[in-house]
Amino acid sequence: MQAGIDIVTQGLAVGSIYALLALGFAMVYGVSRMSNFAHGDFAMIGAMFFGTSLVGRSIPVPLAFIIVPLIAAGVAVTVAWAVYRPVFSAPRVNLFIVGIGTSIFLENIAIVIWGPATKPFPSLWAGQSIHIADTVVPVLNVFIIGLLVLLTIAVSIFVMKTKAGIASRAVAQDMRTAMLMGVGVNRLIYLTFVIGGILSGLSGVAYSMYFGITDPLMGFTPILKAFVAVVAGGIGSLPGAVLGGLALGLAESVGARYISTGYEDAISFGLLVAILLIRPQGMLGKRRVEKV
Amino acid sequence: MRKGPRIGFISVPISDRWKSPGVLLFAALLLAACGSGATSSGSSGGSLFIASSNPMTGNSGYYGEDKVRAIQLAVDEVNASGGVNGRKLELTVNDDGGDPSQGASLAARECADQSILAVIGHWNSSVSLAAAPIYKKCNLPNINDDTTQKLSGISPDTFRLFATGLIEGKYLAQYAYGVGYRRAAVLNDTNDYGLSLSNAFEQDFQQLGGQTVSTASYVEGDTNFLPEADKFKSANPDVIFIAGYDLETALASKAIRGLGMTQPIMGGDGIDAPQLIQIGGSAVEGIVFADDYSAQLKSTENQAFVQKWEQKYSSPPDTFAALAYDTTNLLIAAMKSGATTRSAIQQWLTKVKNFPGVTGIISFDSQHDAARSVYMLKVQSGHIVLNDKQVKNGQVVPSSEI
Repeated sequence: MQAGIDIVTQGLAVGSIYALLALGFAMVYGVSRMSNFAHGDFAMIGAMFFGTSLVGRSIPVPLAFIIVPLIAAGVAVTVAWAVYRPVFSAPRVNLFIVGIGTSIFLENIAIVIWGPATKPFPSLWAGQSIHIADTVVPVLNVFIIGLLVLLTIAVSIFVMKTKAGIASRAVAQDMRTAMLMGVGVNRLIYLTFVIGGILSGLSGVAYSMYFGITDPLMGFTPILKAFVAVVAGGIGSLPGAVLGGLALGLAESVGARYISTGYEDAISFGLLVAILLIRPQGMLGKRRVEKV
Repeated sequence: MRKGPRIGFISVPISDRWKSPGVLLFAALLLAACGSGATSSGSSGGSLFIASSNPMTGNSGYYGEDKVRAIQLAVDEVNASGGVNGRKLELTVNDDGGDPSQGASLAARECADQSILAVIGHWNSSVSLAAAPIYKKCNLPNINDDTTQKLSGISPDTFRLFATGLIEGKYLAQYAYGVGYRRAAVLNDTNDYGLSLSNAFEQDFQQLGGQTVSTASYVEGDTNFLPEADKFKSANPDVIFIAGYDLETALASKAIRGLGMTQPIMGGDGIDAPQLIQIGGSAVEGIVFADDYSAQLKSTENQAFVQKWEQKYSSPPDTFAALAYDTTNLLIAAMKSGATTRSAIQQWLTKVKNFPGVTGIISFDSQHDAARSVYMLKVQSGHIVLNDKQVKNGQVVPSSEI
């Protein structure tokens, strides 16, 4: 039983990292139709900056949870304004490719600035654990899972109760009509990138603290996983994105531990393929009828 | 021409797109890149060219930079003392990204460039394997420092300066058994390096009388080692052997120590880099690993090399720097003896016997593998030092005896 709880909390912690990233990604996609593949790299820039430039100057480590998301949000808005806005009315596929190009650009800029080597990243509560049942769970894991719960609740309140949130849902449903109804679509899209950037940044800090490292390519694999999590959870569903991320994290950890560590990626992606075969619209997605 | 109310996401007319900041930034970068790209093709009539084909970017980028520094040191030394029989030796630095397909296309380009007489590369076993058949087709001599057995005798033009995984695994198994370990847990990278090293270690360890109680593997680039560490914890080994590179070994060690395991950890030559300690911290303290060099080796050649290196870089040279230095000096010796074509250099290399390198005495055997010694190193107080116990003739001996 002890081993079981260990692996489950590990899986949930890693899953929370993916879920935070997937949530931000899904929000941006829902509102702007952009599959922003550079989403993970916004966090990377923030984490790299904190891990290299700031760490040496005795900045308290908990500030990472504020500084990195702010930098990530800043990068997100800048990219949205400079790169995505001018090509915004292009077909979705074009936007997707622009996202990939931006991702490659950001990764290589990071390599130019900070070098390609992986850098250590400070962690919080290193070595400290709390007792659950008869097992010990690292405090950081519990914190990350708690962070996901907190953010999910925050995003839900935003989307359901605030004016901006309700406007976002309107834009996600039908951008032109929302505009006709007087919704400030441009400002809203920027706001979505800010929120997405913050979520991405939090995911990035969690990732860097959990693994203890940061490097220019750290955003690459997580965004692939976040993308798959969003699809498996159901495109257009924010809770689905969170669920997809958690499912992926759990599948990875459990599969790696009990089936085979070398095949963990194959197992987790295989599981997601299975989900889509059973339910093509994703776990919480709605069957969308194409309007002609 | 329609103008939107304010520049926003959905109101930028197509004709205004070129004014976007993104396009301007891109154009500026393009001009800057073109301006600064100084590809010197001015032939310095009579220069001899060698190429370094190593990972300059990617996870293995540290090693490529390391090797290039050493090669450049040897090149500068020979040029400062009159060149190779009066001719200048020049180095072309190429990047294979640590990736087999990139390495293969790089090899093709080097083949086509007839001025390149020899290649010092690659660093990753998988990349050398991909490039060797290409160099074979154009008879371009290439010298690598990889461990995979698959490179033995792969081509008349490929030479290897590093002890193969078979030999390294044997030394490591002899050490592990010799100091008393009987139950080993083995974690390996699934690339050619990790597989050949871990297979050799397991085979020899079992032959000596030891037991492999648990194994796990990972794909390079993986950062999450808690499942593997958890698996080893339940198997309760005497020692954990990790066959992989420094980053993954550091992360795996952190995971292992993080779960409270105190068993000793051993590794291979692929972890000999400062990054092991930078990332691993206290988790890698005490790791014993095999390597083909230590800055603390006492030969006159090595002491001179270490002095020069520390003067320039204020920290001691590591294995790949030392091997790259030896490789360059081998090529210089070949060229000084009159071998200035690809085939002449290849001929000269096949006859190398007892060459005094900084990494020890080097000879090439019939499969173009180096016949040489392997040393045991250790991480002590955050530094990589020569271990106090070594392996000689299958026995564990104090380091004073080597």
